[in-house]
Amino acid sequence: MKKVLSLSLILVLCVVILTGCNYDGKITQENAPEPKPTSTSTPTSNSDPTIEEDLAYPMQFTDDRGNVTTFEKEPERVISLSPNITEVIYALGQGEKLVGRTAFCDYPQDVQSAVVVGDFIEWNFETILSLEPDVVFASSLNTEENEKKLKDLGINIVYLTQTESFDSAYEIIGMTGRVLNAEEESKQIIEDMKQRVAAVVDAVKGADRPSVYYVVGYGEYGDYTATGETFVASLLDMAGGDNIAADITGWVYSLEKLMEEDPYFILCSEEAKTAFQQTNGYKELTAVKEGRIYAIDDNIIVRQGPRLAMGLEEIAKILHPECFD
Amino acid sequence: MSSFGNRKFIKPVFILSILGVILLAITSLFLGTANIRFPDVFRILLSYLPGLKGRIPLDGISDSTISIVIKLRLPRVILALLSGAGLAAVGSTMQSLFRNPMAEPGLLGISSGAGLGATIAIVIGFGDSIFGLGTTAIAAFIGALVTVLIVYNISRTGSRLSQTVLILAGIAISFMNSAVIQLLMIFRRDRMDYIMMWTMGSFSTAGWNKIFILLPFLVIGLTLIFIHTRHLNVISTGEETAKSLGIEVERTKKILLAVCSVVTAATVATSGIIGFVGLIIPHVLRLLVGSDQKSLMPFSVVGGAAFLVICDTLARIVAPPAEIPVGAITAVFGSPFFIALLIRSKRSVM
Repeated sequence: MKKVLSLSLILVLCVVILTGCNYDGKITQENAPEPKPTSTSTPTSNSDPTIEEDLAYPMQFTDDRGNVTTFEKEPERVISLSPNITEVIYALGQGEKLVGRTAFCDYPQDVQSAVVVGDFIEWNFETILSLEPDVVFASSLNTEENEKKLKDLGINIVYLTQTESFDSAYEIIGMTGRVLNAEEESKQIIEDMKQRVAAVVDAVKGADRPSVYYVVGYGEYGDYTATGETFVASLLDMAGGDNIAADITGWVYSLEKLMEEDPYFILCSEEAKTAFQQTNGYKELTAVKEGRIYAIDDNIIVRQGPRLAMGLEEIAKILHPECFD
Repeated sequence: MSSFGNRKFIKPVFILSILGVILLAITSLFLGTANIRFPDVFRILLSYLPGLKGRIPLDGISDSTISIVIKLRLPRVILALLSGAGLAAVGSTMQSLFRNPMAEPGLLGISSGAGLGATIAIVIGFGDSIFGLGTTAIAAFIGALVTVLIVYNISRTGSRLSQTVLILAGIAISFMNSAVIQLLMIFRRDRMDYIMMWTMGSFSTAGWNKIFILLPFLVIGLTLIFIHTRHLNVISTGEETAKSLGIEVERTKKILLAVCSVVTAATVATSGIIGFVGLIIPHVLRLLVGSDQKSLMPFSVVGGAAFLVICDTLARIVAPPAEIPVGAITAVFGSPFFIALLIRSKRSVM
């Protein structure tokens, strides 16, 4: 317990230091919202502007938690408390509306201009309130207690569930688009993603399915992977891989089992790659010895957002380079 | 023994310290990540005073600013005051009752029981809330009380309570609860952070609902503790002496244990596990005012309240916009202070 606690303390301190760097510590009344006379954000896409105007405000929106929110006008000031929703907001071309984010929201680069209002669990309610958001997006990564507190403070909160399926990303993109009056853009993104997914599935069809293991955690921190019930596993599956952890549930795995299954491919994060190959036991794996351990950006395969299709493509290219020449 | 030496100074000093806490609490309302100008906070606070409502002009102050002061900072400060008062009083009571300087609110496994309850709720998922309290808080409260009941029943022989068994059973159950929490964290790694943050305690979701839930427990609990301060004084010199002086030791012990358990459970359920306050604050005040519970207890209540308000204010402002769990602050800032006091008192003895 002590070790875990001290570890977490270090983590907290790291977060503190990291967030302290890009935050100037001041949210003054001066840079609080200046009222915008009209909706100045013309979407950059070539969608028909009349469709935008068809969406009549006030609009009622029911989120995944059953919260019914009435938007009197198009939300102009948005806070996202989940990295995947932050990415969706930017993909929809609504990035300039984002005034607040979590310390984990790091994509795209432009998010730096939004104020950090906390992480997944600890929110700074003062900062959130003083940003005067029209809507706050929350996801399954956040706690219901915090959501309730925000609601009690009279903030519009839209909760979007992340379920363990690929389609959950489409749901989240669609719903975010509706709230932000960018439904056309969201449909386009979903259509584009579906096409890319179909292309990948088509490309790997008929190819043999190499066994694969996705490293979430390893070594003294415990062996964790994306087992069959996770949506990351469905990515591996769609990319034409045979996830060796497909038949178990949860996230826990073990080194012995990993050695027994001895997967053909190993996927892990960039930071873990070198250390993983040098750790006792893991360095005996055939995939490590023969150089079939590949680094992949976690963020494009665990965030249920617009980059998920790209994540799928990258996995497929690792597992089946022959199909993507 | 005591730094104030002369007993006749105790009363004025106590009144001064109460004024000090009030001042501290008000100061805390002016501090936070949102940069609200001091005159604005002042106007907002004045406008909410009974009798002045509507007479103070609030123009130029946005609704969100008013919300920050009235709905965020004020309940936080009050909840910190209440929790600190309760935990320090419980700690002081337990130390006298068990004649053990290591005694603290979590001694009988209450904190770990609350932690286990909360962990189970977090692992199962976040359900609906009851009475404005989250399921996590309710599970924590139940977990705390169930643990204490188990410890109590283990150490009971007939109508007598064995003190050694109470402490040992409490420690054993604490270890078991912590181990189960760890096991659950291993199997639900995705929920690990939530469990960890909960066990470190925080006032960030403080609200009037939590205050109104905690308040009755605290008022009744502190009243019962204050009624028994004379008994506590005698019991702390030895149970045999107490018995020979006609005090119903077993009955007093049971009442106070029940009070301590419920107050601690309610505090932990509303704000998570906040260590250190209940253990150290009574010791600090014992060094300052002596160990007569008649003066030590009220000073502990005030001292605990003041200490947690300071810690929570620090938790809010030292690393904006991040919130530091108050449980981490209490020990980091409190320990050096306590060690300094210990060294000083050691010197004065030698």
